Amino acid sequence: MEKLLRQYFNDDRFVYIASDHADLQYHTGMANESNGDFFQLYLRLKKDRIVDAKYNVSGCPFMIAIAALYVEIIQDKTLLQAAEIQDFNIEKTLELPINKKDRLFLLEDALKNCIKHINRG
Amino acid sequence: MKSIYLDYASSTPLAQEVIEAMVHVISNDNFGNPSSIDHEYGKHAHDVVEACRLDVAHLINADQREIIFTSGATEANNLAIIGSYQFNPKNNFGTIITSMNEHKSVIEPIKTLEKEGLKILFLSSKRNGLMDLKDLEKNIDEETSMVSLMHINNETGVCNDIESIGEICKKNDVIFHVDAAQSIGKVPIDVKRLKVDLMSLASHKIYGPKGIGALYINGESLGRVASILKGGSQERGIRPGTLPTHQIVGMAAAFRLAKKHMDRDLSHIRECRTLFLKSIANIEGLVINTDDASTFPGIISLCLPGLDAESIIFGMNSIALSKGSACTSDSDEPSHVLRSMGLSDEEIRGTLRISFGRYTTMKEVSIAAKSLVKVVKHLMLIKGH
Repeated sequence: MEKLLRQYFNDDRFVYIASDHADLQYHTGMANESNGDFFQLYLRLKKDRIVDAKYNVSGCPFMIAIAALYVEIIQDKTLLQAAEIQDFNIEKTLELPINKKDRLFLLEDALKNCIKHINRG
Repeated sequence: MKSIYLDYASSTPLAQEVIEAMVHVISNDNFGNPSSIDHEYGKHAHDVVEACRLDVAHLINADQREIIFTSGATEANNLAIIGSYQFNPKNNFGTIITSMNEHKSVIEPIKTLEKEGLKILFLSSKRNGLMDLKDLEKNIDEETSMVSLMHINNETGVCNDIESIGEICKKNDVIFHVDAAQSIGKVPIDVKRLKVDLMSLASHKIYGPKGIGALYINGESLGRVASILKGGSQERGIRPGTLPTHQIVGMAAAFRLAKKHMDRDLSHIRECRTLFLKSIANIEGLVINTDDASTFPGIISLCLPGLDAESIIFGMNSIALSKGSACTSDSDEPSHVLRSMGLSDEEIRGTLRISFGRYTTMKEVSIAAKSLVKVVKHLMLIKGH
């Protein structure tokens, strides 16, 4: 388990870098916790399909790994498919401790905020 | 691959000489009870213990009879505080002054006494972690019975001026207790000069075994405290319980070594600190939480606001360090010490403790510094900095 946790912790394939990506048109949504953890999602869509998903994240190792894994999963999914991704898949993959499971809500909230951003046009 | 160990403030490996001393005493039938002096087995163990007591006393320039062995500094702290209170006639023990920067093994027994009706005053430190001596003196009054302040802080390395604090306490006829768990064997301590009444000592922070420590009780000013354990007359009735000869031998060996190598160890630790800080100097936003001049060089409390210390440590794979004290690192509660110093939640979250020791090599320091730089760069990239 730690191997996978470490793999996603170190994964920066889909990290949003302003200097590289600012010119591209991303819809964005963010969620944060009172403890300082945050997750910001950036999506580029073709119709309703995610053609490119990126993120920024800050928090504990599990938060970082969750973010990287989630954004990997939602690449090339429709918005609906992304919204229907079950938390327990991520939870099971990374064997999240009980006290870290609430971090999953940030993914859901960020996607919702992103969709709001999309709907605002 | 074995991790590089940079958590010497938490605990230390046994020195080879300590292992040899302990193995020798264990292997040579020194199983006698040091209290059973009616036969040769007990007498021999007793003699070994008393010789070790002298070694422990020597390190702080105390008399042998002023050293009471305990199971560690935590017990010594409890004994000092609760034992002092219980030794005094009812209603004759007034306010205890301490600070929220103290170790939990000082704060918790004091809070227990608070629940029993004793008045406690928790002083705040300055932002750099040092106690404000003017504030302390101002708050001592005719009702104050005890001041308990640590020498070197386990989380930050801040070194209180216990000589001046001792003078203030002496002038006001107030018992002065010092938790010296982090400082014993690392910096010179002379209890005859320092006007300390009680001092808690640990073994495992200076390459000795865990499970053994001592309380120094000034023979002239105090003489004794009440026992907080019941059921025996060992240690002049102050600390009942069969003495662990092998543990005491280990502690004494560690203390002898500390006395011998103190200057060399301190010089080495300073070099480690200098190299480490130089190697990480370019990390953006990095803050050292304390002032160099008032900090023991072996402990660095560094802060990366906006980053998560747990992630930094996780990313520094194969480097063993900590977020804070060992006693609090497995808790989600923010450090009470850092909070007391006025750090924000964000700063507390981003603080880690690195501590060097006798066996730290310059290569290890260099590797750790490079690892920190790399991890911070990664975390800042993914944060969107």
